[in-house]
Amino acid sequence: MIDNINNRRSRKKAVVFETMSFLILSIAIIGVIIMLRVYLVGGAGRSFGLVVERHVEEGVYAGANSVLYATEERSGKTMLELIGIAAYVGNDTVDFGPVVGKINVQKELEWRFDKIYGKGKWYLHVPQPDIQPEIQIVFVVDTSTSLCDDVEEMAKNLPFLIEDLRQTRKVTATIYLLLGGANCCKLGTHEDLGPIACSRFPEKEYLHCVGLTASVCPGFGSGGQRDEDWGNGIACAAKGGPKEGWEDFSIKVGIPLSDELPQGSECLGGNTCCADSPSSYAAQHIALQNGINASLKNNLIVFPMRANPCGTVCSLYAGGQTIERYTDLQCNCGNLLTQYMNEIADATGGKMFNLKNPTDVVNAVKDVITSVTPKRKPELVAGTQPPVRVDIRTVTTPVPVSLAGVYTTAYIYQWS
Amino acid sequence: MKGQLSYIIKPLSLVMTIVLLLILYNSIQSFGNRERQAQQGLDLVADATNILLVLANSEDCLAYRSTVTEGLYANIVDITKLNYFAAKYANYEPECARSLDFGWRVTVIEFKRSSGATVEGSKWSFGASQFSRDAAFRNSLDFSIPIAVRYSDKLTRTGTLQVHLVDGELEKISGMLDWYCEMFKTNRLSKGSFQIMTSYPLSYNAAQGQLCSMSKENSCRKMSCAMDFEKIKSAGQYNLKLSYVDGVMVVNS
Repeated sequence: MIDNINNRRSRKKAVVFETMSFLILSIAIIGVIIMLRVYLVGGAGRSFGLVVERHVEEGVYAGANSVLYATEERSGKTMLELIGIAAYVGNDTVDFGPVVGKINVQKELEWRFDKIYGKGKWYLHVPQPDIQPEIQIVFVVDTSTSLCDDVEEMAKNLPFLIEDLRQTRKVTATIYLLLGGANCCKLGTHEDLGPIACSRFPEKEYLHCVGLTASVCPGFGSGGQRDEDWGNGIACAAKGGPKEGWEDFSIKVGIPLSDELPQGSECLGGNTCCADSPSSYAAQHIALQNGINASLKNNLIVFPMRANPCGTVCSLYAGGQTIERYTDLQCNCGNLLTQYMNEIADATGGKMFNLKNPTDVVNAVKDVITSVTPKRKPELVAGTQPPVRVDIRTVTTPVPVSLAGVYTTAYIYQWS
Repeated sequence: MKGQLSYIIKPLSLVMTIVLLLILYNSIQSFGNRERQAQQGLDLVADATNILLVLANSEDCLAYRSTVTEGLYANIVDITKLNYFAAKYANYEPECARSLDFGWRVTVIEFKRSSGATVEGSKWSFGASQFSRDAAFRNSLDFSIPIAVRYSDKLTRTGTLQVHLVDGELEKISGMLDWYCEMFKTNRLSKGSFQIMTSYPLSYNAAQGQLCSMSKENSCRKMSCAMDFEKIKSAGQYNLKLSYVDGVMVVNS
């Protein structure tokens, strides 16, 4: 009886053990299959993903290079150079002058990156360094007697003004004196104050004075009255540039200082004032037009300054003759002069200044500097802002701003 | 009754265990196949990237070297080299980026702006012109990488370098033969052998220097060495024996 019970228990145990063994074996095999799936196939999949990602990353780097080293076809500059120039001028648009024209760097980058990375799949930003572009000023100064007081004031204050401006930016000035050079004297006492000549302006690294002779400006000086011909004078200055030459992407400013029309206000050679219409001063208007054309061609912004034309002047002539006279012609012909000066200012993007006193020259030049200083964009931005929660690949490239001798950085982001 | 239960469970456990072991075996086989396929795909992708990078960045291939700085520019290709490659390698891969595992052909397309739209400019193409077909074909891949095509100091255009990479029997066999050719030429080996699997007869066109797989349409690949190749007349596995005699690679099956 007891043996029977024991036998039954043993068999029961054996069945339980067999079932348990089978279950353990099943679990082990399922475990092995899961492990194979996770480690073998999953590992291969991960490796595949890594290799594909490597290709994508290489493509992103290659894309950045291919765009940055591609040239813009009108200027022949690489996109990297254009970004550097845009950083220098502080604007997305760079003006390469009348032959090449204006180039929008942002748009040039956009069509290239759109083609390489796909539209809406990239973003670029380049912080612009704090650079003040160089300002180059050329003065064209009337050397007739009526300018004696203005030139004296200019000679006294201009060097200090330029020096002061150079504390914060690079400014240079070249004064072109028109042919002539009246010998000035003091009203009343007739004390000899010397001629209007470059000897009045001390030569400095940033301030030069040049007589506008035929050797400086070929063709200028033959025929007509030249001591007041600021129209052709500004044309010469625009073409020849300042003494150091025009710098690339500098701000070019022309300042004619006169109280008469280009080539004088005398009508038909007489000492009278003609009608207030350009046709009555045909030669003068041609001289003005020459100035406008040359200024436009050389990106010169003209800020004409009309010296106060009404007053008594004193000049010494050869043989000791002294003449004091009231400048009635200049005073009476003011309307057309204002019209001419506004014409060249409007055509070149400048502004005319009507000086009441000789001392106004300094403040007028300060105003000019303020008005030509461009408002800089803090950064060049192109493409689409990266979306959130996507894998973003980044390429950073140093961008030389060679005109300023500094570097900035282009940050390029790409996502799939 | 309880005693009888043991007699049912025992064979049932045995059958179930056998079934489980079969499932395990099948899984191992299946995972092995999938891993091999993944590995092949992996090799194809890695090779595609390598070929593109070598083409665009190696001076022996298309990379532009500046005469001023004596430096290479990454991913900038020289128009002179590009024209030369397109003319010389119209039907086979240049040595500078030849793969011993796969066949490839690349196309270079440049982009330019016309009437406010981005258009394709000039195109160049070079590399293998024929690949394994039908049963001999295993896999293919199309990849691209951006480049810039440099014409002069003042003109460099953005473009892409696209590669069509093919994994097939003809590419593998010709790759192995080319490898042996290189070993023989440099006296690193004097003889050798390797096993191939071909789905079509193989023959060597001595006049063209091409090994051809004769499916419905012949697919041929230019070989690096002149060969005395014993024709393989039918599909199957063969053990090729190689030797190098007087500048000719002798191949017997």
